[in-house]
Amino acid sequence: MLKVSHLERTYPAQPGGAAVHALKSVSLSVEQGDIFSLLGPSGCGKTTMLQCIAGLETPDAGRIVIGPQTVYSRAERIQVSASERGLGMVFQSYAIWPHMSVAENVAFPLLQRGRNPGREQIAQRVDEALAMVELAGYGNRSATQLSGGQQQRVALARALVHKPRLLLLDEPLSNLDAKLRDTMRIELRQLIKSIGITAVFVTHDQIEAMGISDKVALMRGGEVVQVGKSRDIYLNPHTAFAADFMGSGNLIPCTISDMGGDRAVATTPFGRIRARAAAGLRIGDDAVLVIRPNAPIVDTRPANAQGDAAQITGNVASVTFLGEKIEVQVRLPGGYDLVTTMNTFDAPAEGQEIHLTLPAERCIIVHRDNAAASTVRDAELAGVAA
Amino acid sequence: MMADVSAEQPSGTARWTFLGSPRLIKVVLLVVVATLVLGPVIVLLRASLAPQDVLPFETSVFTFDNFRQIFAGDDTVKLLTTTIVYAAGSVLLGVGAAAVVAWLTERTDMPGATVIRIFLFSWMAVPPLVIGFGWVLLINPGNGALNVFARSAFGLTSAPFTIYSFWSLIIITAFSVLPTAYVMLGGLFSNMDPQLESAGHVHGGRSFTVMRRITLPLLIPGILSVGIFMVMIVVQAFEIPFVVGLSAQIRVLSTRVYLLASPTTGIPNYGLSSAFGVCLLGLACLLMWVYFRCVGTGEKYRVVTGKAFRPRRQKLGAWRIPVTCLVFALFGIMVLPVLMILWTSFTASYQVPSLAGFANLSLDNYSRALASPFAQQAIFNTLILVLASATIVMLLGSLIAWFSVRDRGPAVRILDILAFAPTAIPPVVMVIAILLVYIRTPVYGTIWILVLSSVTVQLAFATRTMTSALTQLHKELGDAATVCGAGWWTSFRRITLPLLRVQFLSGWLFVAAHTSRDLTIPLVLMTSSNVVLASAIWMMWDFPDLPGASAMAVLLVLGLLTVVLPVQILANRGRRGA
Ligand SMILES: Nc1ncnc2c1ncn2[C@@H]1O[C@H](COP(=O)(O)OP(=O)(O)O)[C@@H](O)[C@H]1O
Ligand SMILES: [Mg+2]
Repeated sequence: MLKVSHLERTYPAQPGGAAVHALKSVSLSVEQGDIFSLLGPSGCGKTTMLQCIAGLETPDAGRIVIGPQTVYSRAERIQVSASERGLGMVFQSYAIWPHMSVAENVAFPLLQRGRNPGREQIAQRVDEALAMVELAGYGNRSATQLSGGQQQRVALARALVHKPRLLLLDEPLSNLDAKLRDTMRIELRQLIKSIGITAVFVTHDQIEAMGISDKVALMRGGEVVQVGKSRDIYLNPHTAFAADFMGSGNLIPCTISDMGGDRAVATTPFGRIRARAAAGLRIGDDAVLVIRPNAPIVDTRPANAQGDAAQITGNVASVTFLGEKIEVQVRLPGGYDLVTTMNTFDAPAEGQEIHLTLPAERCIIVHRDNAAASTVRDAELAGVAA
Repeated sequence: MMADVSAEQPSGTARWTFLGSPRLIKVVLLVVVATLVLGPVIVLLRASLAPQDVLPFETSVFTFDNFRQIFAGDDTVKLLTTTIVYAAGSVLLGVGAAAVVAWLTERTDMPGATVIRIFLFSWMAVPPLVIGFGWVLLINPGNGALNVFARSAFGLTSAPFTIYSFWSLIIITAFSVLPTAYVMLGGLFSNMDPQLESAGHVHGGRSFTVMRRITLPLLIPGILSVGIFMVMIVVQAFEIPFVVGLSAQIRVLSTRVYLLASPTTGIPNYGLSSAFGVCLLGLACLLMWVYFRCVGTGEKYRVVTGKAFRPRRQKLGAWRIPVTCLVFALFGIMVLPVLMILWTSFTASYQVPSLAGFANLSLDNYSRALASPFAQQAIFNTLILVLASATIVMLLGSLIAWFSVRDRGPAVRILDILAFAPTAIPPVVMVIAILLVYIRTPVYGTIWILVLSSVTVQLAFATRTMTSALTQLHKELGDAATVCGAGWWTSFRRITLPLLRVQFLSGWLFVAAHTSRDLTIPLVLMTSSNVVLASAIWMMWDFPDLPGASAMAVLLVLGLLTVVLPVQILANRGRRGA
């Protein structure tokens, strides 16, 4: 449905600044009917990407194909303007026009490009669209009298009323308060799925991305780092960045000392651990061992390490109460603090000795972040290694 | 629902030409603005290098004679000194008074602050021309009303006041600087972060110590930049030096430029006039440069933040009543010339105001003026001039603003600079240059050349107003329309302009007020067929028909007030509501 290949975008230097390479040869492919998320930290180029697809920003190179139509191609010198692409878009600020009523806002797309389906047709389709977002009867309100959540729904109705072939959403939930965000996320997914429209969803929040999308493209510094179902990225990250951004986890610098099949042995400050290995790693590589907080099986008595599982013993350094679960910091041999979560009702005492079983299929060894790694992460890794 | 999705897909593929419309508009804008602004400047430069007494098109000779003549005698040095002393003196007085009044209305508990604010904001409805005439009637040494009163009251033999002195000119100009400076300073005073002062109080400063040691130093950069800006305005000003200064033989650069181009006797000397115009232009550019340097350094104080504050108000205590009386007395003096004109407009022939005179007052002048075809023509022309130029220049300004905010290419930079340039070009110089460009074309002599000149002169203001309005507008509002399928024009017309309607309207009013009260443009370009109210008033005054001129002046002021006053009252209410 949507194919983006080798898209480049560099913002020219502003007075007193340097040029920003916002998109570095980005390629993506979105299937018909999918909800596709662009996930990444702020400033990684998500909005730029979405604006290039919408036609609001002109890329420097590459190709964008929507359905059967090439809307941008540098090589073929094709550039379809934003108003001709027939898309729907929900903006981060909603961009509801305050000088128009709700109905006028929603009717706007029906009246563009020389169309005028007639008064009754318009009224009917506006009512349909408003009913779809559960705002039936709000048509005559002034757009400024709506709450944030309602404005969001109006923006959605406006984006869908002309039955676009592709829906683009730029952080649509980020201006809502936390509770509303959760309900809207679920409603949004149901609505998009019921219409069957293809959607590209931009967010910096991994929970949002996991909850709403069929597929996620993880972005960083203008590049797509990994694409896949959110579960796949969570379980099989390629890099330390992907592991960290999709969920949380202990990232332990290690060296690969042995390899066989898809398993490898990592030498860590607290011993040798068997784990799955990401593709492309070889013996002797410096890598990062990822242990999710919910991966270790925790026991107060020594358990028998069987087959593929490693057994480590440590002391409880601190316990943090988080409601349904507790977060326990376990001081391991070699001075490493491993974070793990436990059932609130099984809370251990501080200083207590604790035994962790680490099944190999729950741990994964991934590539270190390259030189472009964020300084925070570098500092963290350096701190651990020291 | 998926079934009918494909029915509404766009068909066909636009090529690179998709930018056609906005790009075309950009090119058209560039051409229009360049013609408006660059054309006259180039012709002015050419004329200054041409022999005297010929039009720049009619000669191929290049000569420095004009400049040689200018710098030969010490006349020019005297002219320059007079201009600078005049500007500096009136700005010192005017901005000083404005700063005090702004502080009183914005930062103290003085009563009547709202009235003063509305009064000063509405003062733009009073043309400088009318103020000049009013003062002439008040304090001319012969039968000036104040002189007559003073003589009879104190038994003086000679007149205590005279309009024909450098000091009178400076003080009258200072009064006209005051409202503008107040408008610029008011925001500065009311937006100052009160925490800066609170910090002073908390650390033990007494009220007046805090004011002297913290408030004032923080405001100095702002006041200074307003001062320099006003010097720039006064150096360019023409009307008061023309009405008041000329009889007193006080010449400044702007009146010199005018007199050479439109002498009362003899033929116009466009060459010398243009050369002086170039000098005035140079001086204005220099001041502009100084202004930007100062604004640049003033930036570091950043007193005015965007947040809305409720600043702490100083209690005046025992000073409250005397200070209030003093301020209102000041405004009483400001209104005096207008009252004098009002009085004269009701008299059959000019006479000093007196109780006995009230019996003879009548509306004859008004009925006479309104019945004459000359005046009717002038009113009609004024309406065309104001409506056309305010609308055209605001639309032009909005378009330029859109490109300069949303589209940052090299062409737009040029557009920006061109639209800003008229700020540094004194109106009198600009108009004489426009005269030189169009004198041989059919446009000359029609009302449309006045429209063209007003558009050029007000372009910088219109662009600045709309640019700052547009920067406040979220880009996504326009993008949303584009994604919905709206073309560039639709998006501009249906979304951008309606969202900026308040700023557009207030800019429109400002331009309308300044165009209708301006004498410079109609006077320089005057022919028998394009007389507007301002030039009609001047002609009747010069005739002399003082009561008739006064009646027309009152009509002009009333017309302006009915538009300006309600808007200012509304704006003030909105301000307090916020
Ligand atoms: N109009 C612009 N001019 C210059 N730089 C820009 C512009 N828009 C975005 N950028 C820069 O490009 C990078 C990517 O921005 P963006 O796509 O908005 O990131 P995201 O949406 O992922 O937060 C950022 O470093 C940002 O500063
Ligand atoms: Mg963004």
